[in-house]
Amino acid sequence: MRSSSLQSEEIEDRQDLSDFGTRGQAGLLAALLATAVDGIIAIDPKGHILLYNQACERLFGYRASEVVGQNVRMLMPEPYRHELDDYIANYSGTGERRVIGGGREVVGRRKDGSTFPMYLSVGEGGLTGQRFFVGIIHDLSALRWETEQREGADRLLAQIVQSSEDAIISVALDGTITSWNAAAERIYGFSASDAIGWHISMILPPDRMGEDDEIISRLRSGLTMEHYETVRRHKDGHDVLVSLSVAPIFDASGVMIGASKTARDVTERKRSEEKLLGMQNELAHVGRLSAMGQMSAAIAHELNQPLTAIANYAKAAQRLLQNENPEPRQLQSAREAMEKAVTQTLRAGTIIRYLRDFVEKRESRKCPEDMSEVIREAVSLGMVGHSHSNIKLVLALKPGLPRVSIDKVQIQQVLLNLVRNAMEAMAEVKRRELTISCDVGDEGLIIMVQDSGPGLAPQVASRLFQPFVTTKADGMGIGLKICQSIIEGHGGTITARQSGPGATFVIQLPLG
Amino acid sequence: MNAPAVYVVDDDEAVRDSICLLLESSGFVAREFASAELLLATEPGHMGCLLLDLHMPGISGVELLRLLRARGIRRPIIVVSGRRDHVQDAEVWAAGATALLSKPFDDQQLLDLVAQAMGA
Repeated sequence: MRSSSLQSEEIEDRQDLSDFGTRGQAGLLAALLATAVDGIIAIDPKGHILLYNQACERLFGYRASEVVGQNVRMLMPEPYRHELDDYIANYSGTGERRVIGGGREVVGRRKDGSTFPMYLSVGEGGLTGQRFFVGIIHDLSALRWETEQREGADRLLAQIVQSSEDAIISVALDGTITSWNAAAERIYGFSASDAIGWHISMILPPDRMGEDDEIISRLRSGLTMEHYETVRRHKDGHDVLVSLSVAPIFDASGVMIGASKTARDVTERKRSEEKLLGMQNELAHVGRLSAMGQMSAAIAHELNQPLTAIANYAKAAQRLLQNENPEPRQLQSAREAMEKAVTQTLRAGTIIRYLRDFVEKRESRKCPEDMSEVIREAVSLGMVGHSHSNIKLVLALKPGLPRVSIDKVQIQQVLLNLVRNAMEAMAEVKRRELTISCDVGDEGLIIMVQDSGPGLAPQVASRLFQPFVTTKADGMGIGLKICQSIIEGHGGTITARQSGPGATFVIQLPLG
Repeated sequence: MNAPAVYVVDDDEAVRDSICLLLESSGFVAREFASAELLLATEPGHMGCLLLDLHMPGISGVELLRLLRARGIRRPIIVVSGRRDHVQDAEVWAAGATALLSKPFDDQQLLDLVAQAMGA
């Protein structure tokens, strides 16, 4: 029983389409047409549409009822429309088949007039003596779009790389150059065709020959490099200073196959940085000289005091010793006078040393300094020549201030500048009060210089630390710029704000 | 011991002290004041003459000079200045100075002026 039932199943399996009968075949055909993703169309030799499936409705936007019986030309844009006419004419005339049996890419036209790429395969058939052609239409839009996107992305990347200001090159693991953009041509002097296929050592200076191997081994151990400043050799032999960033290149399976290197030519930047630095030093020097010009009169007056005292003491001693037999009291007095004269020469020497330090153009030298002393000295120097200006000076220095590593002369210059600015600001006001305070906060050492002058003009306040901004008739407007450079050189900040009627300058210095 | 003294007003301690010593070494009696205010607080009865510094905090030399003259004090006043210019000189003379000296000065010149002033 079991075997016979198996047999009958096999027999049923061998059913073929002819068993469906005519009606069954028609139903199957209808199902095929309806299921097909591709468009299926049939035309008679004159081009009239006989059959138009659901996929065609989606592709062309026409309902079947709109196209069946119409000429197939309506689904084709120029020049395909004419080609079809020619083709049909040709075929009808000569029997020559150009499309039949094969396929090719053509363009379809939708109801809304838009077009789309399609792959058209054409077959030929006959039914009860009437000839017809069948076309299978495969929409290529999505594929075309994808390809275009990919090609577009590739093209875009290539254009970005080509138009980059930075040299972008790639090398294989053995150092062979595999790509070379336009900026690389400009920066290194070699054209892409001169470089690709050659070893990277062609742009390495002799003393850096090992550098590329090092870079590759760093990349292998998972380290990338960014903005590493190094030297490369131009084709004509001169050195190029570059800022180099390097990243590994992996293949599809994740194996490192090379490295991409982006190099920015920083020769020019370096040169202008050095030039700028030189100019800043120059400017600082000019600023000091100019401030010195204003100060020299005051300093001269200050020097006059010890000189006057020295002369008086010396002359007094001389007179006391003129007697043949001076009294012990006179001798003692003369000795004291000479000692005092010596003290006054030291005082004069200190003033001169200040002056020299102030003018001297020199490198920054940082040492731990007693801030209280630094401030006191700077303020008393700043007050030189203003001792008769009726200014109430308040020094609010926190006791036990820590020693801070600074360049004493530079910081004193800043304080001096702020103090003298404050004096000038208060020249025209009645209540003249200068408060200099120093405290230690979370942000480090805070020094404040507060005056009771007219304060900061709004149009100046925002540009206070820019060079050549001044409200002084004879000022160059570089003092505060220099102050800022100095404070920033110490890792600190300097800010200004309106405080009551006057202005307050706040210097913050790190304690470290 | 009520001999007339040379009053010395100067805010710079070393200058003031050295002037007094110079005067004393020549036999004068000197009395020092660190500011104009301190001098004004003193009865000027024994002032033989006054040596006055021009540049001082508070009441300046010229202001003191004017004040003293306004109070009818006729004793000689010798003004000492570290910085000289024509305008300031004119101001000092107009305020009633007897003599005007630049710092640093020749000791003999100062002593001659003081001797002359004390004898006046």
